[in-house]
Amino acid sequence: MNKKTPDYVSTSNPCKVCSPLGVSLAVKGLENAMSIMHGSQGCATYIRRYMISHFKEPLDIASSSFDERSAVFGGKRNLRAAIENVSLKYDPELIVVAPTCLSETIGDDLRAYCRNFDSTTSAEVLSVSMPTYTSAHLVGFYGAVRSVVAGKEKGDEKRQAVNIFPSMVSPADLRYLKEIVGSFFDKSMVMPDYSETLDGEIWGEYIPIAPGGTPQKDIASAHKADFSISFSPYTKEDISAACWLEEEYGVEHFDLLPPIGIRGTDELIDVLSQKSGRDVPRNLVRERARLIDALADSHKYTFGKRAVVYGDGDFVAGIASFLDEIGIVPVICACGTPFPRFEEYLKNSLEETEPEYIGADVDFRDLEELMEGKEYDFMIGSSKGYPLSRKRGIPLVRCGFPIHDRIGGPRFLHVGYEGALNLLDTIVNTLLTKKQDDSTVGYSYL
Amino acid sequence: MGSAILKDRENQIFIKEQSQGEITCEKSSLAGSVSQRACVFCGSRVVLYPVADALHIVHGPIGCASFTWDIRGSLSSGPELHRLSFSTDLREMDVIQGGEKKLERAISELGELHKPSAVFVYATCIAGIIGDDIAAVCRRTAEKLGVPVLPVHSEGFKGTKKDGYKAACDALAKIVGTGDISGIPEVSINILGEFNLAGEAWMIEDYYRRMGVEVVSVLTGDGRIGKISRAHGASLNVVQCSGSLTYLAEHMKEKYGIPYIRVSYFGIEDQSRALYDVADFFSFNPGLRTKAEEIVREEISVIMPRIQYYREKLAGKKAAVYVGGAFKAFSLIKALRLIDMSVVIAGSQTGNKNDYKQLEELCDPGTVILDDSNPLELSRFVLEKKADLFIGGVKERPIAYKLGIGFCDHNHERKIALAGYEGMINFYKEVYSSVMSPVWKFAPRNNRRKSHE
Repeated sequence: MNKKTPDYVSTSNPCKVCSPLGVSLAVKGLENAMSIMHGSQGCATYIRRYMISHFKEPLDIASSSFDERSAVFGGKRNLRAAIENVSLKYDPELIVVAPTCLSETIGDDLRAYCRNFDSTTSAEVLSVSMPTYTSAHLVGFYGAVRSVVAGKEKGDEKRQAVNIFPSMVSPADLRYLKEIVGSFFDKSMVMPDYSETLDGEIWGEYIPIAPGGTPQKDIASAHKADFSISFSPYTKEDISAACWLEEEYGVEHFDLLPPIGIRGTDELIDVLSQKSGRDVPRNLVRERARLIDALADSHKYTFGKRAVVYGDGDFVAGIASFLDEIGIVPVICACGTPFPRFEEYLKNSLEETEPEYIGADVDFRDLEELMEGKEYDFMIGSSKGYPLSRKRGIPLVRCGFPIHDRIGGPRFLHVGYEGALNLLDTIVNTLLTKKQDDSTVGYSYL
Repeated sequence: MGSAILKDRENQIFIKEQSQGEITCEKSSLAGSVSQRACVFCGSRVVLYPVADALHIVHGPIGCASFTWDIRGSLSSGPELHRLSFSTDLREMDVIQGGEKKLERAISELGELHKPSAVFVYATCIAGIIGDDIAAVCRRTAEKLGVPVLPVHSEGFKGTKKDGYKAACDALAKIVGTGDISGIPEVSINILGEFNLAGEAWMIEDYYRRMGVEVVSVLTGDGRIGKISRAHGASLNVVQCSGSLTYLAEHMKEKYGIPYIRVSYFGIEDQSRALYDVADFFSFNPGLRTKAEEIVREEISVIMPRIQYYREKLAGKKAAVYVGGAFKAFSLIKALRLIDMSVVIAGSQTGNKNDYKQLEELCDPGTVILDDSNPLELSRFVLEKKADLFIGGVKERPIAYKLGIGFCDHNHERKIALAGYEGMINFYKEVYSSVMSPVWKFAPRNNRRKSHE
């Protein structure tokens, strides 16, 4: 299970983006908040373009627009201008400043800048502390959530029983998670929550900051909650909001498997049911039963199939776990970012199958070489795998982020029983389409 | 709610026959304004991207390479190295210790793996800050690989997108002049600033060929290092997309005495002029003009009846135009006028004083002219001017859709040919299917259902 590919020093066709992107995405999920990328104008613009192609929603992200002067003398002046202009135009309640590799390298102390910010803005200004070039988008995503939870002025009031810190899931996933949690607790916080801000409606007039997002008051009360749930392997690192709340305020922390597939969802529901003292509601019981019924209907099409899974570590683990549950072998499990304990983490989520390769910091050239000489039934991951799937003639099941060549990425449901059902239907129908297309007979019953 | 226009940006907005003085432009984006512009790197990357037999290595942390992987619709008739993404993917230790060694190994391994005709090495912000001597690494690896390895000084913060164009032209200038120019006839041109989106360069090359003009190289659409190296053998440079390749045209004029003309291949009028101007340049051969007239007649007769159809459907509709270079806006205004549509907003990311003066002359009174604009300004004017259609790039698309109006992509990422005569029909068809789609009937501004309010 060692890395079979030659050790390239360069990266080709990356399976990751950068941490400031993760910050911008997380901040889109906070009520009345704006993000500022502290660096060159291009960082904000490229991130906007990349995410617009997936979410198909406005993504107004500001930049402190470095020039040579700021690169030499520091970007404090530009940041000040950016904060003031963003306040004038967008009037946010919260401004989150993300470092970029440029500002980190020149040593701009964002925390100090934001703390001593003597401006006319009425917004709370917080900076994200995260490494900008050691890792990738997920680090920015979790880093932003933690920095906001930790840095925000605390409220006295207890508002929610539970804090849910999801991974980088789709708006549809967030909506469904809220529904699930809502059936156990009257008041909960899901952070970030871009279920409305990045999958909204036509407005008629341009709204500077899209309505929706995790309420600021809930964030301020996160430390008063009874417990937190997070779903990420990264939560062990120093970038987890749930870990911070546990350490600083003793808020109980459940670190669960991603709620993708039956085991992951069961685990989440068990915790919710146990902590709330409420029975699992009938609708969830029915959803689970329908899913199991569908698994029986489709098991002949899935058993023993060979899949290639790639993307973010937690996403890959979640998908691999679900494939394992339905008899598909996740033959290659490739995480696009550096992730020291990936193998251990992934193996923990499997019961039936044994992958031939588990590895992190993999790009699409590595993946191509890993796949060489063997047959696979399908690939599953973001649309960035399309060139490889096309080259190899292997069907691609698009899910996760980003999906740049199909519509509906934000509406794709991965989590919970309904998400598992959606994944099952999509995977099985992809396999059936391939079977039908390749057949010389062309049966109309399969 | 905040205000749509910041005080520091007021002079970058000009309303014809209402505003005083002249528009302010060619300055860095205002911090916090949410500019639609990218950076120096972006300028270099878009110009060089279509060179299909070269390796494009981005020297820096991963973001810049991820964001520009397979990003443009530039087609190649052969190799497709340009559609891959290569990066040194600098990590913390590289930043501390300097990235030169990693860069050198990356160039060597990728060079051996892909056997390119040349290598472009893009310096990103970090490469500039940590002081890597990229030029030295390029010299060393060029010797080893036996192909040109060219540094592109595209550090994001060192100016605007336009400075990136210049950095790309500097790199191209090092290739031009290195090839054998024997056998190139006198009636020959280079096409500059045409990127072969959806095969547009092929269409345009074909028009010139039919006239009897040899196209020595296209920069950079369907680009090949070999062809670019012979570009100095052509008699004339024909420059489209005036912003990006004019630097190279100027350089070639100075160094090789090759004159250049500015053209646009967008719109019947401009496309036809692009053929006539070339014919007139070679006036010693009157056959060219006759041939050009024939082509124009022939092509127009094919598309005119269809244009008539679109005119009937679209006359009176209003468009907002916000594009990268101002030259494209001129062509768009003329093309829309041909079907009796008007342009109520015309803006660009990188226009200069001259561009905006020309734009003002061309526009109707009351048209809003914008430099380096942003979502809040654009959306405000779109509503104020009651535009039916927005023409721009990916980042402008959600602005249009949130307001419930149609959108046409006229940027580098599109997959539909909009240049030439055939492209004109594609363009009108795009406009038609965007504006006339029945879905807009359900948008809130057209569909106030009492029961849901």
